[in-house]
Order: sequence, then structure tokens, then C-alpha cells
Amino acid sequence: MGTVLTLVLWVSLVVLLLGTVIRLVRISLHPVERSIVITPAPKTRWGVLWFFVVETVFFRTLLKGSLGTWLFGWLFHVCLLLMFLVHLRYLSPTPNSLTLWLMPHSALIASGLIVGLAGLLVRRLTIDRLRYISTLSDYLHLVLLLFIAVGGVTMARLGSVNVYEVTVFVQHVMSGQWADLTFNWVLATHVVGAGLVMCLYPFSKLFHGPLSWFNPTRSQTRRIRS
Amino acid sequence: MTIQRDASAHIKPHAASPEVQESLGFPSEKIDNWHDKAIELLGEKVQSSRALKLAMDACMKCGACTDKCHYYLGTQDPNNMPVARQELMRSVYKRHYTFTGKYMPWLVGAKELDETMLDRWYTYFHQCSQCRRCSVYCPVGIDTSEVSMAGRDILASVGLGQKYANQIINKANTKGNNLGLPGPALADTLAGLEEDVFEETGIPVRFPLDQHGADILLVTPSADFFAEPQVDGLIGYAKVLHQAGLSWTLSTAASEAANFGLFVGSRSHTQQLGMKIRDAAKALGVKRLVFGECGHAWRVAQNHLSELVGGFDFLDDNYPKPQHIAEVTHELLTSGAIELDATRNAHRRLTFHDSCNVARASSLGSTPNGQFTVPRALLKASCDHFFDMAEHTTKQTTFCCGGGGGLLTDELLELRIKGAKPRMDALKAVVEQHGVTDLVAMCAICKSQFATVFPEYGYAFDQVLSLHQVVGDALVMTPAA
Ligand code: SF4
Ligand code: SF4
Repeated sequence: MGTVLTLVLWVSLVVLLLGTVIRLVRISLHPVERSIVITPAPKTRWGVLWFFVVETVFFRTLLKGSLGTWLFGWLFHVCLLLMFLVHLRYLSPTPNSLTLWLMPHSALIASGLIVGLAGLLVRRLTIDRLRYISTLSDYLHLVLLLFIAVGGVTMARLGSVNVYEVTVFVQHVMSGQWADLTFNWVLATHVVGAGLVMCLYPFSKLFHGPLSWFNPTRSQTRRIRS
Repeated sequence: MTIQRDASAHIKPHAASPEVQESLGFPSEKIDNWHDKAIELLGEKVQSSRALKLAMDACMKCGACTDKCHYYLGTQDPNNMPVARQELMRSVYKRHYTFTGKYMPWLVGAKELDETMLDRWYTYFHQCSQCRRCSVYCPVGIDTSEVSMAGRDILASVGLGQKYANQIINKANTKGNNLGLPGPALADTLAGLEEDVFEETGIPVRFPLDQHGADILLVTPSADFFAEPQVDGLIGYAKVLHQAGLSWTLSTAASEAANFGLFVGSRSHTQQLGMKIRDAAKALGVKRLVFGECGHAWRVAQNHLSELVGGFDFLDDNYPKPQHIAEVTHELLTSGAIELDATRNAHRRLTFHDSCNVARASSLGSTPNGQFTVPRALLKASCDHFFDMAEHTTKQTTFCCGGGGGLLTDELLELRIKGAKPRMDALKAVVEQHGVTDLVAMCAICKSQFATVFPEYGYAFDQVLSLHQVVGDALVMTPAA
């Protein structure tokens, strides 16, 4: 199993990194034909940067547009970030202090992650406007993420995975060496699922975050007369 | 509010006549290879526009925009939800230009551009007034108007142009204005206005036409020359300019500020119409270029004109760019060059409708948010009773009047009435709460639209006023000026 998962992680990492670079380069090569900034807009580049910082941290526009989606969406993204930080424990035998601080709260973070995703899914299924615009892939993205999260929680609950072994495995993978791992169904699907998300990320709507920074409705400054 | 499928599927604009299509360089009727041509054009358009590319790629289907469009709110037709309107184009784009769309169309909702889809394009890209309210609420900032503009241009390019907008572009190209008003008729109209104002005020306010050597060229929507209440706005500009002692003129060749090239997504037509204004300004030797009350004209003038027509280097260094009449009046007011007496509008209780293209695509004056504060400052100086409508229906989140974006045509009346509903609801609230008597607008399309739909909502057609009508009524005029 170690060999297969090593391969999965290598491929996913390469696809994620290369895909991200390709997507960013390609979108930046698309010309901005004319000024279409939504006004009032910031006057300076710093103002635009500040807009995007606030937007990225708080999802301010979404908050204005839909409280329910904001609530679940923001919860999901924040918990995803925290969960990523928790997973850094596998990179080194001596994790950084933030990760160490977060580790005892991982059950809470996982709950937030699952509540966020489930909330988004339930909204998509129950609000007729959202149902109308949703395609199969829109549901599957959420289901896949939920599946990974539930797998992680299952492993943590059952204590069926040897954390030390996984740490050694991940360190090997990251340093470009083949590594071994005791077979475990839940762990295997968890890792394969995560690998799939990494591969999908640059080539699907999941890439909406980075793309939004390039939108001429937002990334231009306002033309104002002095 | 639940969705009602196809609730407005029957509302569509008349097709442009073969002559009009040809005059604009489009095929006279639907071409045989429309499918391939449309797909090819779609690819080219997405390739050449980042905004369109993002609309095709970055939508996460969050649904934040779904209940923000006045046409959706008024019709409940789900295809009028901005994301669904985009999806009409996106699903076709995916089918032809993405891996998943080509090989797994069922997964991502990719669709073929067949007759049914083409019909939907024609219907729903003409049920978007390109107001961009949806964009304000979109977390990734997708601009649905870019989609409907591109869609209309593709449709016209395969022979399916819309009659109203294309006919108007044709008239503006050949006659100089959207109404097809010939020069002598314009001169007559202006002479008539001079008489009217003299009778009313006893002051010889002039409406100069084609006056060489004037300082200011005023370019205004042609509706200002004859339609109510627009003409009262024109009278207001003339009074203000007269009282301030400014030398100005109108132009026969540039007797139209409106630029429908924008609505049909055609850069070349936008440019051609813009060139007429530049040429007229140059020929008349003016120092300043001022635009009258027209929302999208101001958007084009402020954002695109300079780049489209190669700049205005011949204008006075102090006024190197086009100005809006509201800015000019506001400057005159703050500098003390004119005086407004609010008691003259004591019989009025006013509210203000922010026009989409001024609110969300332009600015006014030199202060932040000037597009909101300048007209309100003018109104408050002109009338003691001013009441804003609800926050989420004004300023950046203003609702469209329901007739913008090239939809101000009779066959779309049902859509226009329904699309006006969110604005009418907001108006009703201030009418009931504050006894508001009139709605003030500063866009020729908004004014015509409200004058038409007001009776449907229990108001008189003349309860919509031009901004400069209110200003003109309050203006303290001195015979010596
Ligand atoms: S631009 Fe305006 S009319 Fe068009 S979809 Fe958006 S809200 Fe509706
Ligand atoms: S708000 Fe933007 S991202 Fe969300 S569904 Fe609408 S267009 Fe798509």
C-alpha cells in the first residue's frame, strides 16, 4: 500500500503545483479589453489589495449576498485551513507550535468542517434556486470533501492508525523516497480522496479563490478626476 | 419565492430587419452554418476577454446572485437568475472548449448549442439589462452583462440581431441621433424651447446649436429634445449654463449621447458612435465636453471613450476629459456661481433613483462616492423634502429601472413592467412612509421606462422628474446674467 499511496501523493502534488501555475499564467494572459470595474472602487493599487485581503479573510461579498452560504462556506474554509495546519504534524517529528496548539482541538475543527460542508450540501439540495443551477459535479465536489473529512474523523475515533508510522511515511514521501505503510482501508481512501481533490483543484470550479483575484470588475482601480 | 420554469420564456424582442442587419455589417438573416460560426465566435470572445473567461471558469455556483436580479424577482423565471443566464453560455462553452464538457458532459452540465439553446440565448440575453447588480454580490465578481453583451453580438453575427437596439445604432450612424431626428427639426425644437422658457421666466435663455467657438459642447441623449420628462432636464441644463454665463452649444452631428453599441456588445459600433462625438467637438473647436443625463453614455464617456476614439488632446487643459452635467452644476453651486432656492420646490417630496451605469460603472466629481453624493446634494439644495429609498435598493446596490441595456421597446413591455417591480416596491415604501410625490432620475432610459410603467403601479406618468428639472425649478435666475 505504501508504494501506491506514495505514487498517488507524488502525482497529486505535481498536478496541484503545475496546474496552479498553468492556470494562473493562462488567466493572466487573457486580455482585459476595457475598464469594467464595479464602482465605487478603491482609488489605488493598495486599496485594491486591501479589498482582496478583506475578501479573502472574511468573504465579505458573500456575506452581503447570502448569509446562509456565507455561514457554512466560511466555516468550511476556516476549518479546512486549520485542518491543513493540524496535518503538518505528519511532516516532522517535532511539529511547529501552532500545529501543536491546534492538535488537541482537531475534533472540534473536524466537526466545523463537516457541519460547513453538510450545510452547503443541504442548502444545495433544499433551496430550489440552488438546485436549479447545480450540476452533478457541484454535488460530487461536496460529497468528495465530506467523504475525506468523515474518513479522517473515523480514523481519529477508532485510533486504528499508527500516527508514528504515518509520520515516517509522509516524511519519506516528501523527501522523494518510497515508503511502506500498513494497509488500512480508511487511510487509503482518505489519502486517495485528498489526492483527487488536489488534482481537481486547479482544473475545476474549486479554483475560484485564486481566479477571483484576476477579475477586472474588482482588480482595477477607479478612475477619478482630480 | 419559488422558481417558475419558463415563466418569461415567451417574451423576446423582434428580430432586426435584413436591411438594418446589413447596414451594421451583420448577415441579413440566420446563416446556414450558424452553429459552427457561433461556436467559433464564442471561443474567440472568451479568448480575448478575461472577464468572459472568468464567467466561464470561476463560478462556484454559490447562488449568492440568484435572487439579486430584478428580472428574476419580477418574473421568477429561473433563467433570469444571473448564474443561470451565464450558464446558458457556460454550458455550451464547456461542451466545446473543456475536457470534461467534451467527454463527460453529464458531469458538468455541458450542453450543445441546438435550436432550443439558440432560442434561449435570444430570449434570455435580451432579458438582461446589463445593470451589473448581480456582480456586486458575486464573491468572484463575475459580470453577467459581459455574458449577455457577448451573447447578443454572437447572435447578431449569425443573423439574429435584435430590432430595437440595432435599428437605433443604424439611426444614430446615419442621422446623428437615436430618434432619427434631422438637423432642421432639431433646430426647430430648440427654438420652441427658447420661446417656452422665455414665456415662463422672462429671461432669454438660449439653446445654441452648432455654434462654432463655443466653450462647451453639450452632448445629451436625443430623448432630451422632445420626450417628457427628459426635455425638462434639458431646460434645466440650459438655465444653469445661462445663469453661470457659460458659452455652450449642442451639435447636430453629435445629437446623441447614448451609445447602443455597448448594449449589443460591439466594440466597433461603440467606437463609431464615440467618434462622432469626438469629431463634432473638434470641428466646433470647443474647450470642454459635457454629457447630459444618460447613464450608459456616461459610463462609455468616462471609462471607454478616450481609449476608443484616441483621446481628447484638443480640449482645454483644465477640462481634459468629458464631464457630466451634474458635476458641472455641482461645481457651480459649491463655488457660489449659481444659487438654488429650495422653497421653489416646496410642493414636492422627492426620492432619487440611482441609475445602474452611473452608480456601478462610473464616478462623479472628485470625491469618493460622488456618483451618489453629487445628485443628492443637488436635490437637497433644490428641495427641502428628500427621502432615500431602502439601503439595499439604492447606491451601489440600486435596482435597475427595468428598461436598460437596450430593452426599452414595446414588445418587451411585460418584462419591463415585471422587472420594475423591485424598484416600485422600494418606491411604495417611501411613498407610504414619507408621502413622496416624485421620483427623480438622471438617465433618459430610466425616465422613459418609469413614465411608461408608473401607471401600472398606480402612479401618474409625470411623477418621474429629471434631476435638472428640479434643479432648474429651484435656480435663482437674474435677468442680467
Ligand atoms: S446584469 Fe442586471 S439584468 Fe443582467 S443578470 Fe445581472 S442583475 Fe440581472
Ligand atoms: S454569485 Fe457568482 S459565483 Fe455565485 S453563483 Fe452567482 S455568478 Fe456564480
